[in-house]
Amino acid sequence: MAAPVVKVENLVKRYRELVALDHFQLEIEKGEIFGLLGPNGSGKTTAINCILSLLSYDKGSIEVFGKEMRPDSYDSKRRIGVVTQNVAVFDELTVYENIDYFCGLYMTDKKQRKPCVDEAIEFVGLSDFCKFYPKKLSGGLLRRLNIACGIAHKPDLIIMDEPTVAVDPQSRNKILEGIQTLNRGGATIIYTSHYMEEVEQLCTRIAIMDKGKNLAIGTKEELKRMIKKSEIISIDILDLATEHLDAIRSLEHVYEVSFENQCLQVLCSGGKHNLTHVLDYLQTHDISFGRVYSELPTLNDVFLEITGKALRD
Amino acid sequence: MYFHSLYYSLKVLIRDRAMVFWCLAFPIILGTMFYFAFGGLSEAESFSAIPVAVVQEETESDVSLGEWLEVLEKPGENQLLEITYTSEAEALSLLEEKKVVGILTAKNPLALTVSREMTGSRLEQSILSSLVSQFNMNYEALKRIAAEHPGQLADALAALTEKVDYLNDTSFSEGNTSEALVYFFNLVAMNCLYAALAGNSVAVSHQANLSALGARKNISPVHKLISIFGGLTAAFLFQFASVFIGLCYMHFALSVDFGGQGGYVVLAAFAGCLCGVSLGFFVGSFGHGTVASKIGILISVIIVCCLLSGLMIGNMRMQVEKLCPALNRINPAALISDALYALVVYPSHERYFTNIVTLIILSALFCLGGFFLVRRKKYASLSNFF
Repeated sequence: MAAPVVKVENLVKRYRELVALDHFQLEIEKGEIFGLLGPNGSGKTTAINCILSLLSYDKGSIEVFGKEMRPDSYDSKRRIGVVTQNVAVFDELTVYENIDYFCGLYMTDKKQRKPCVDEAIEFVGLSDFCKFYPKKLSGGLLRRLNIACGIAHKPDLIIMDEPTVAVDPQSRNKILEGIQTLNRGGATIIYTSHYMEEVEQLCTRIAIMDKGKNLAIGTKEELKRMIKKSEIISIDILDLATEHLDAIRSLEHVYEVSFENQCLQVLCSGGKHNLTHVLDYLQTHDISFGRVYSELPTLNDVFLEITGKALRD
Repeated sequence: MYFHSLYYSLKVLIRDRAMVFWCLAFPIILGTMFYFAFGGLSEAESFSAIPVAVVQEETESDVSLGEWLEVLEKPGENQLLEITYTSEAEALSLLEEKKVVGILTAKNPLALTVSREMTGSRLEQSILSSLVSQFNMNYEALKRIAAEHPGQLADALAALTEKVDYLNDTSFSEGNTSEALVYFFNLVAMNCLYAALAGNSVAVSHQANLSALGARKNISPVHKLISIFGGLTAAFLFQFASVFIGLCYMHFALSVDFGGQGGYVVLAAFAGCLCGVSLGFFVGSFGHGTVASKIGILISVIIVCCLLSGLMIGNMRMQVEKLCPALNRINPAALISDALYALVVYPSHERYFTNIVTLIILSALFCLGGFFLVRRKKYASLSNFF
């Protein structure tokens, strides 16, 4: 069996009294798009910085491509591409020059580099802006330049730290499509974002972390199965007596019922045909109802249930 | 990789407008201002003959007066007066028109007429007054000797006309010791030290805890010191070119005298820029301060160095030499300025080379210190660049 692309074991990182990573574990296989989710300050960026050997850590081990990751692991670093959270480009260099500069840090041969730079420009849709300076680019174009700088050298592992922050929907769509294309081309991707729908759309596996720990890890389906809420049923009803509410609450798999603004909301945990059971009850007791909705939990529900609803910094 | 880093670092510097202004345009502007401010200084020091009108009246002193005036108006380096012999009316007219500083009327005693309105010629008026007093005093003395001891008249005349210099100017060299030159030399020193800004930028852009670019460079498979060395070379070349252009401008456009030793001046600029770049690199690598605070520290260091070397107050370096000579031995601005000064003043290059070698030693120390500080492989914490 091939070694995981990234393997992190028992990683502990402290900032004086604050424990940023608390025995953090992670294993990412080749070809995955791995989503790293967590509220602000949960330790996502710290974990990535440790993986990249930028940050020192107190305990644990990190392996990338089967080898211990150290600051002088140039062979491993050559196979890694990073798209930083903040745009990191030279204002004094044009779009082409920026990409060529960063690609040149990985590829010394100019002839070998040129097609890669051209391909990266094409890939992020900046062909018409090659001679533009970053200050002349819009936020979306700047993000795309930032991505091109990180992927031009065709890395096997791409780490993307919130690459779509402050990007318009068109640019975001372009970026997300690009990530899937890169993955189809064989790249393993670690993706952090606050946009749940992006992670849900892109990632093959997701880790939810908080307070420096990995709270849950799995595919989105596996994560959704981990939480109590498995179905939300909403039904428009003109009036509903309290005894009916109690009766519905006592139905199998129902764990919470509320009636507000002429809308009955039933939260179910597990089970099948929950909607049928609720509608049967209403028909049996001759209760008139209007529109009926049934929603399955989203990644956002999973995230909030696992990390809690308390506000973070 | 070294050349890749060098090439792009140079491009970044050349396109950085602020850097081009401070490192190239500003010293040229300041040099031009110095030229106009100090241009009159040497002119003021030179003396030109004082224009006077002489009105002849028949007196017994006429013969000796004529001889005396002849000596004073003799063309050459020591010409004191530029005489117009004229009538009294014409002389007054010339004085009113400010074409002469005074009127010498040949009567007994010799009389001087000056105009109160010519306030700008007080020095010349004083000289004329002094000359007239001296002539009258000598004339009276000779007249008395002729009457009382006619036999000793020849000796007395010889004694009075003999010129005795009690002070003798001796120059150690044939060099130019103009005070204005020191300002230009300090300007060159300041220009060299501006290289520190580019050196600082190299240090900052290679540290993951100071800039997003630093973080990006740190995760690339490039040896940090190779990349830094490329950046520092670019910073040096950029600044050296700026200083070279500035020197050419001073020499050819402002006619600043560098003692006709172009090669040595360029070598001084070379060592100065080297020291400037390495100073900036060292400050940029030192401590955990923000980029802005590092630039602030650097500019303060440059200003203090230039102040102590005499950029703002001409004789400051001399004062420092009296109070704390060691400071002049380690102040890069003083070393650069003194190297250039030594070139134009001293015939030997000993002092010049002492300064150059000190600058190179300082550069090596700053570079080694900087490399030692940034060699760190991992950071304990990073700002929100990444």
